[in-house]
Amino acid sequence: MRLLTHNVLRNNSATSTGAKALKITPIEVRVDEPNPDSSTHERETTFVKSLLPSLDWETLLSGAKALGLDSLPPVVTPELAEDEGFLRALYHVLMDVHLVNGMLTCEETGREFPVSDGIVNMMLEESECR
Amino acid sequence: MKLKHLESHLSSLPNRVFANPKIELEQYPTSVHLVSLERPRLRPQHVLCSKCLRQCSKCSFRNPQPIVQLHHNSQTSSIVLTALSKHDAGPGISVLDLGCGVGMLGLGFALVNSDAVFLVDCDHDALALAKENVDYLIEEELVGTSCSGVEGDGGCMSVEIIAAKVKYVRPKGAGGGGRGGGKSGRGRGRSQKCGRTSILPKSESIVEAPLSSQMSLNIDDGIPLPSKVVDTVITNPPFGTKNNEGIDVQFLRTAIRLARRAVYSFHKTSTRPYLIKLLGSWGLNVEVVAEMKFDIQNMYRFHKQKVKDVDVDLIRVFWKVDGDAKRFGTGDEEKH
Repeated sequence: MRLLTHNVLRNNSATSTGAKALKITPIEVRVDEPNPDSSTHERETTFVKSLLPSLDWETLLSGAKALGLDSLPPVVTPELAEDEGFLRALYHVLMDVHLVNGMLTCEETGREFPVSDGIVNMMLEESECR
Repeated sequence: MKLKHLESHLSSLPNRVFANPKIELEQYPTSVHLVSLERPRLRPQHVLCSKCLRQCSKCSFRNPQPIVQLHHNSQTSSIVLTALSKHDAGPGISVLDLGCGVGMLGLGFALVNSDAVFLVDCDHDALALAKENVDYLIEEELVGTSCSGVEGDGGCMSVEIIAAKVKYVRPKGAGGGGRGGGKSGRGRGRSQKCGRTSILPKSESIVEAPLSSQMSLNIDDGIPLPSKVVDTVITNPPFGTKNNEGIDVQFLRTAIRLARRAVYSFHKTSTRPYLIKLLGSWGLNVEVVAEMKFDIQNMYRFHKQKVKDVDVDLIRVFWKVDGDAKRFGTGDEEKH
């Protein structure tokens, strides 16, 4: 599971407002090397730039921190949003870091969603939907 | 990308069928050719009027809208290339496959270099097979990084797998329709707190109301993602033959919630008039992209025939994309 996905996942059960991001408890994390081939950088920065307006920055910060990444600034300024170095670093955080095994926890309800082999299990029981 | 190449990549996926198909989930393999389109020559009876989207001798020549009638063997690659031609797939587009099974459709979209693909299904066994398929494509450098992709021109950068289940609510008997699910949606602070409207029954009493005022946009549908999270949603829903009638409409509704730009969905041709009316009442545009026959092989013990052909429509639901920058993540329900 990438931080890209974590950024949009919410607890959709009936007992939660779904307003807050899920807390990450990592067990196994894999970080891919950033792509050395510079011909692909433009695709990466274009992609990240298009995501930027709708990313939940607080969620990303806390998610990155939980996975041991400290490189993101607390706030994104308009200048930063155009900065190639920043965009590449953002791509790395969003796309190259994989939570292979771990747990996502809804801080409101305590409900846990396990992540195993990179797949996050958000299946709700019947009872949780009503 | 050439049809042949797409087909051959999909053919080489390690898991194209379900090892132990689960009857209650209507699991059957999507033939590789389903994902690629051969365009046969159209004969007059294949031309349908775009207004009524059915064969109509009165208006079919006034407003002809060709529908490609597919041989049952031309399937996954076809859909993908059609979507590509309509800019619903490819670079710059995010995609979600709802009820992905082993991931054939979603991976077809990944192979044409869509930016990001999400595979969602409720069956862990199927998702394990899907994961193997994804790993295979990553290994072959066909997806997974910005420098992968067929012809190395920048492939799909992310294929993510999520286990989640589209909630099924059984509709009540004729006339009244069923109640919508559970408590009022409390996600994201934008849910509709007004009363539930029913799951629309297959009758003439279709509630004519804009989509936003129905619970249709209620995110309490089991899928833990905000509305309008991706550009395109593709789904091959169960058809509701296993004691879950109406589930295809629930998949469609969820798909519409999750998409910004277009939804591709399969439904039995017999339900076409009902769906057109329903989607029209929701203020959505719909076109029948293709008519096809699914040949369901004799898989389960109750299957009496060797092969059964089911007439299926591939429909495309779409609405005008406004000029704003693409938004990923925070759904704005008032846009509907």
